[in-house]
This record gives sequence, C-alpha cells and structure tokens, in this order.
Amino acid sequence: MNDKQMLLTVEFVDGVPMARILRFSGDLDSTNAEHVSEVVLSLLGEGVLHIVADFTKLRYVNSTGLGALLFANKKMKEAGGSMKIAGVNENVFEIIEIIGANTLLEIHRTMDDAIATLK
Amino acid sequence: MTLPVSTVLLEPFAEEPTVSVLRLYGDIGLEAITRISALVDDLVEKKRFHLLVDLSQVNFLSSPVVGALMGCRERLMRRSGSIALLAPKPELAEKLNLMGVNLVFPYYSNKNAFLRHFRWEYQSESRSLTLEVPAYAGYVPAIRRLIAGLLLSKGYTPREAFQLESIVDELSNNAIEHGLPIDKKFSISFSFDKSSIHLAVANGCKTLSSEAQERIREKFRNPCIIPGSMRGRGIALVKKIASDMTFRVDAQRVQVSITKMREES
Repeated sequence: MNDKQMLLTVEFVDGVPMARILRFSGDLDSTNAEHVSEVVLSLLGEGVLHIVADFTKLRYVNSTGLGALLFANKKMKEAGGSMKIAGVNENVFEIIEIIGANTLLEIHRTMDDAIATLK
Repeated sequence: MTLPVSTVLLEPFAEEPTVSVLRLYGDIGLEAITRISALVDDLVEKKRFHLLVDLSQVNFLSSPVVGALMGCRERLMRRSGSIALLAPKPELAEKLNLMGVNLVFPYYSNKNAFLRHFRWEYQSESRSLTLEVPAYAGYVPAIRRLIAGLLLSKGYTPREAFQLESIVDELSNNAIEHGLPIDKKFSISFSFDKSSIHLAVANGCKTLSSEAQERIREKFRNPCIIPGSMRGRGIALVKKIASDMTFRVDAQRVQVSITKMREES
C-alpha cells in the first residue's frame, strides 16, 4: 500500500465548492508523506480552502506522515481555511495523541460531523 | 512388540525431559481410566506436571476417558502444569471437536509443533530475527509489518503489534535519515518471548566528531517536540511507547535499543 497513487483520492464536497475530501487508505509513512504535502499544495493552488481528511481506511501513520498532516494543516490555516480529520482508528489516534498532534489538528468522530462544520 | 487392543503407557519425552508422554493405543474405553489416573497421580507425586497424550494410534476414545483426561488436566494445571493432545486421527479429532475437547486441550499434529509451543509457553523461549537492510525508506514498511505479524502470530495484541511497528518504523527511518549510514545499510536485531520484546537498530556511519556524537546523544536523551515543527517527533514517540530506550553513540556507529514489556492481559 505504499504506492502513492493508492494512498489518496480527492473528491468534491456537495455544496461547498472551496472544499475537498481527501480519502486516505493504507499506510501514511515516510514513503508517501511528501506526496500528501504536494497534493495539499496543489489544491491550495487551485483555490481550495478547506480539506476534510477521511481516515476511515487509513491503517497506519508514522511521525513523518503526521508531519505532513501538520504541514497541510498549517498551510490551510495560513490561507484562511481549515483542515479537518475524521474516522481515525484507535491505534492511529493513540499515535496522534502521543505526539501531541491532537491539540493541533481538528479531529472529528465521523465524516458527517466534519463536513457539517463546513456548511 | 505386539500390544493388546487397548494399551496405556507412560514414557519419557526424549526431546524435552520435563514432559512425559502418555501413549494410548487402540480403543480406549472405561477400563483405561483407573490406569490413566494412577499414572497421572504418579507423575504429580514425582512433580512432573507436563503431559503430552499421544493419540496417534487411537481408534476410539470413550467420553468417560475424555472426562478422566479433563480431571488430569485440572490436577496438572493447579500445579502450573499442562496437558496437550498429540496427533489424533482425523476421524477421532472430528469426534473430539464435536464434544468441544478442542476448546479445552490444545492439539498438535506433530512433536515439533508441540515442542515449539511448549518451549515458548513454559520455558520462556524467545524468537529472534536479525536483518541487514539497505538504507532506503522503501524497505521499511515490509520489515515493520513482518515484525508486527510475528508478534500477532504469538498472541500479542493488535495494539502491541501496532506500537512495535511504529518503533521499528521510527528507528529505521532515524537510522536512514540521520544515521549517515556509511555502507548504505543498517541492521535490525529483534527478539521476543512471552513477556517482552527487544529491538536494536544500528548503523555504521562516517566518523563523528566528539561534538557530533554528543549532539546525537542529547537528541536521544531529550528528544523535544517543537510546537509547529513538522519533523523530529520520531524518537520522542519511541521513548513514549517503549518501556525502556538506551543508545550507544560511538565515533563510527550508532545503536538504539528498546525493550517493551508485554501488557497485562
């Protein structure tokens, strides 16, 4: 699952043109974290201001992957937008918590919860 | 040697002296119970509490005998012993399964499978793995998953396996990115037993000055997470997950070792 093409898909959010859903699957680690940053920068370049990251199918994340998420979060906020994360599994959430990133990232329980904050 | 239709023998287990083998032959009915109980009494008397019941030559095992073996199990387990079944024929295994015997007694298809389990469970035998890995991040995912898989296969919880996967990942990436591996490879030594896990990740490096060595030591001693920084969280994460972390930084070699104690079940 470290083929970066497999990791991320980008989808529109109904009724919120400046938002996108990023669906993650597999493992977010040192082999593909940079790709996440590239995708976020590219979306920002297209005028996207809000990202909802769907972690429902994300099995694993390491510190480099979290670094990429923090980078994305920072860039979205600097642009006056937001980044939300939803559907985090227990193991991944524990890593986020240990690293202290839960205080920096906006984490929602479900995708519906996260998307509702955009409307 | 010609054996009677129904025979019960007690023998030592050559490969493992702390285990006795109860060898049953033929059709084992009610009449065998007294003998089996007496042999187990004798074992308990001699403080030999591990029994392997060899069913490979058994055609029929009556339910009262199964009940008697359950009683033996209780006596042995009260003394921290064990009882296991060896190689029941498929038809017998099917009948035993219908009776729920497989839920109470572990079955082993051969002696080696039994020995592997026994030594792991009762003699704290460890499993180990040593790898030399090219210093390239693309190799790390397969290695961390392999190690997590080994832990899961020996009954560690998914959470424990996940945490070890994180440690392997972070230490390997640290060796690749910051270890300056001079020979373009690093090594992983991994071992675990029933109660703890040990992992060491090491790499050779170009000669480090005393100051450089001390900087690396300080990073391991006090890994700090800088708010707002995107990187530098790996070692802090490892320290928080591991039960203990030690390091050795020499002029040409850096090694980080961790121990993780198994969680109480």
